[in-house]
Amino acid sequence: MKLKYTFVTNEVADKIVAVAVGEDLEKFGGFIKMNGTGAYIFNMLKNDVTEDEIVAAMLKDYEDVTEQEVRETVKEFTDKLKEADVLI
Amino acid sequence: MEIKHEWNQNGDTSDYGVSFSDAPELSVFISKNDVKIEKKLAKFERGGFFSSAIHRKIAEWLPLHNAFVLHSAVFDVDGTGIALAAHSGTGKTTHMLLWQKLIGDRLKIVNGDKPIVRFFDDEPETPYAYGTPWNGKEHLGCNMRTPLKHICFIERAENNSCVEMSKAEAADLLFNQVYMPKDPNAALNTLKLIDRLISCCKLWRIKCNMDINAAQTAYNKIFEVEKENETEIHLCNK
Repeated sequence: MKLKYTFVTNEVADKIVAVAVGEDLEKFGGFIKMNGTGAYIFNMLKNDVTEDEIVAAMLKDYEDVTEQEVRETVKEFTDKLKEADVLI
Repeated sequence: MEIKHEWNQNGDTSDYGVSFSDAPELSVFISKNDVKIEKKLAKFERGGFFSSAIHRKIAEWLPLHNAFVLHSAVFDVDGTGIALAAHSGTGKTTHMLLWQKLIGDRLKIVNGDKPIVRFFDDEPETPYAYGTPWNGKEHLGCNMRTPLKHICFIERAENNSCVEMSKAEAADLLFNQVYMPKDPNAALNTLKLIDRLISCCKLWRIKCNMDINAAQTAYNKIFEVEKENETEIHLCNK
């Protein structure tokens, strides 16, 4: 899976905010607000990755978490992105 | 000549002119296609597509120069800039005119619709809001700037109130009122500038009806804060 549009992200009011750019701005005119973990996953989704690949990367970078917890977080976040129709 | 003709139909823009001997910071060229795009993007039937196309080109360029377009009504009260932001049709202009009725000449309307907000390197914590020829259907505004200190989000309500908002709440509302450029660098800068703006200004939620008391309620609350700040500065200087 991969982000459907090109986004730029930056911190606004202590959250990471993503907006679509270029011609994609007309297709997705809203914004996505996320915490640090969401931003980590979002960043990986700029390239075509599988859920397993995201989970594996997070297990390396995040301490004191179980695989199940990470998988649930990834699923919850990517489900929200699917709902917003920004994932392919 | 064509520009002058079209703009004069909408309002006098002569106050915003600059001498042709000054080297411009930005020159824009509008093609027939640019005008066609404006017609396509327009949500309802209206004129002024040529003017909108110029505005869009400027708005795309601004964030690369520490500035952006904030859809709001901005006015100045004794050197303090106040922005009223809301979706079109909520009553920004009506509320601003109630303030004018309340405090008279102390209030100067800077821009009734699309002010440019700009930061300068030597005053990093002071956003300035500017008058531009794009100032709404009533053409309220003038060629001046004001240091923007308060951003108020307007909602219509039966009872009047004015309460402070968190940065997170304000950010959500601001995204809908800031011109978001297509260019990735400009879009990134716009996000940075929004973050800067909400850190530099007091943020308010104003619930208001059409009565003069709506302006009185907001004025009392906002300028109470102004007075507190003055006292603080005075003590620091001692």
